[in-house]
Amino acid sequence: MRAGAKKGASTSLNGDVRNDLIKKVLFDAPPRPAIRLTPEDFERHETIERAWKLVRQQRKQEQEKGLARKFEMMRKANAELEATSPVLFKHSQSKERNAVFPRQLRTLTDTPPKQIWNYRQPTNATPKA
Amino acid sequence: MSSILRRQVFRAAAGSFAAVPRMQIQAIPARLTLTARSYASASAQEAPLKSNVSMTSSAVVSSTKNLIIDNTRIVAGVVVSRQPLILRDLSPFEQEYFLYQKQLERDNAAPFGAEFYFKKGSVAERRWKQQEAERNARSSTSTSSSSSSSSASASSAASKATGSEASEELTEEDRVAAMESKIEFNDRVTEADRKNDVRSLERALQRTLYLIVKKPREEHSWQFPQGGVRLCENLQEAASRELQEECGGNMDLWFVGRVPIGHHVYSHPKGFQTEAAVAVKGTKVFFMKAHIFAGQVQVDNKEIVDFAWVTKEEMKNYVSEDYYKVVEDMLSDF
Repeated sequence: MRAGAKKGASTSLNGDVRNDLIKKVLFDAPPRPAIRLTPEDFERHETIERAWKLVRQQRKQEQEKGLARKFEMMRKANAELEATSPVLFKHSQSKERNAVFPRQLRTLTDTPPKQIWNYRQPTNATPKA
Repeated sequence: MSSILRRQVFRAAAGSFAAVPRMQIQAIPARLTLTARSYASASAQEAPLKSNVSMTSSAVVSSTKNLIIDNTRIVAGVVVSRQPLILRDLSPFEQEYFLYQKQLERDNAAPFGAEFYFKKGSVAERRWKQQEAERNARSSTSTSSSSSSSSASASSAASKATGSEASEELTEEDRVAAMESKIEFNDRVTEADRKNDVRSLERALQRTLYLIVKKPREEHSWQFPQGGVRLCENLQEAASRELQEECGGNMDLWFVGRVPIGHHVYSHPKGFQTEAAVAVKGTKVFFMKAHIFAGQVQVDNKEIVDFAWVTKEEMKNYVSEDYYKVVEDMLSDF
């Protein structure tokens, strides 16, 4: 029997008082005063946000243009191939039946690993060596 | 009597199980064997490398004759690219913006009860107090409000200097904690970058590198590796074979599909010799795309004498102007 049990003490795990404390800290904390920006500050904030969106838009457009150029090259090459050799063209338009993505495709990281590139057979004579 | 019946049933069951052959395990779908191969090529040091190109059986590819259609030689070229390995550097504006957003998030976040969260006298609590002191120093030195990005940049530069000075109390626990949390990051600028070694695949980790090879001639010496398509061979096979012949088998490659990504048509200068009986007016090169994951080029000193892994801009210094104009749209800007 717990004298002076708090409201909701029955819901706490095993009647542990610490859970009430956690809930109080999480939910009953006094709210923060709302951030007030001066008109100048607001203008600055808006300008920064617009500039960011503009930069991102430009970068995206550049990427799209690059992709469009690549695709145009590909389309012309395929048109040329179709005109040149129907056999080769037919093979190029068919897809490999059980094609899978290579597992060696690496995700980009902030910094490189200790062994950056696996050169495999170092004993073979290369101009580098 | 029931036990005899049970034994009979059991014998019959055992017999039926023994009769069923182990057929289920044999049928491995082709794609699983393909992936098993790529695993093996990545790990094995001496095993011969296989790309994802399915080679036509040698019975079909009987001739080594080059494919010539309408007096033009059909040639397969390869654009081998090494994709970037690390993230790009942030532009100054990006850096500022991210700092600004971090500050905003901190300002707008729910209040953090440090007294409640940290155990009294713990190392984490001390570290938190240290960081708080740094942050307060930063906000006090800034002249304008916290939402100004220009002040954020100045104060963030200043805070790095003040942070080292603010940590006056360095007790034993702090030093131990510092040593434990020390993580050494590798340099983003590698040795190959400093030496500007164009043959290295560890250079320019942020950029896409493309392979160009040097032929033993005066004009138009640098180009993508290429070679004639033979009869009864398709573009992808021809590209793979030519690359192996010219650049050695020590490359872990992956060809991106069967579709050519670009083409180049040129006519030969007068006096060009070919082995074929038919007079050849010109050549049509169809470029195939491939990625390299491991390995390096090995020059055979017969068809090619040198190689380089260059970015799109650097290629201008090697390749002739006309060739670059034809080829540049296939390449990634970054």
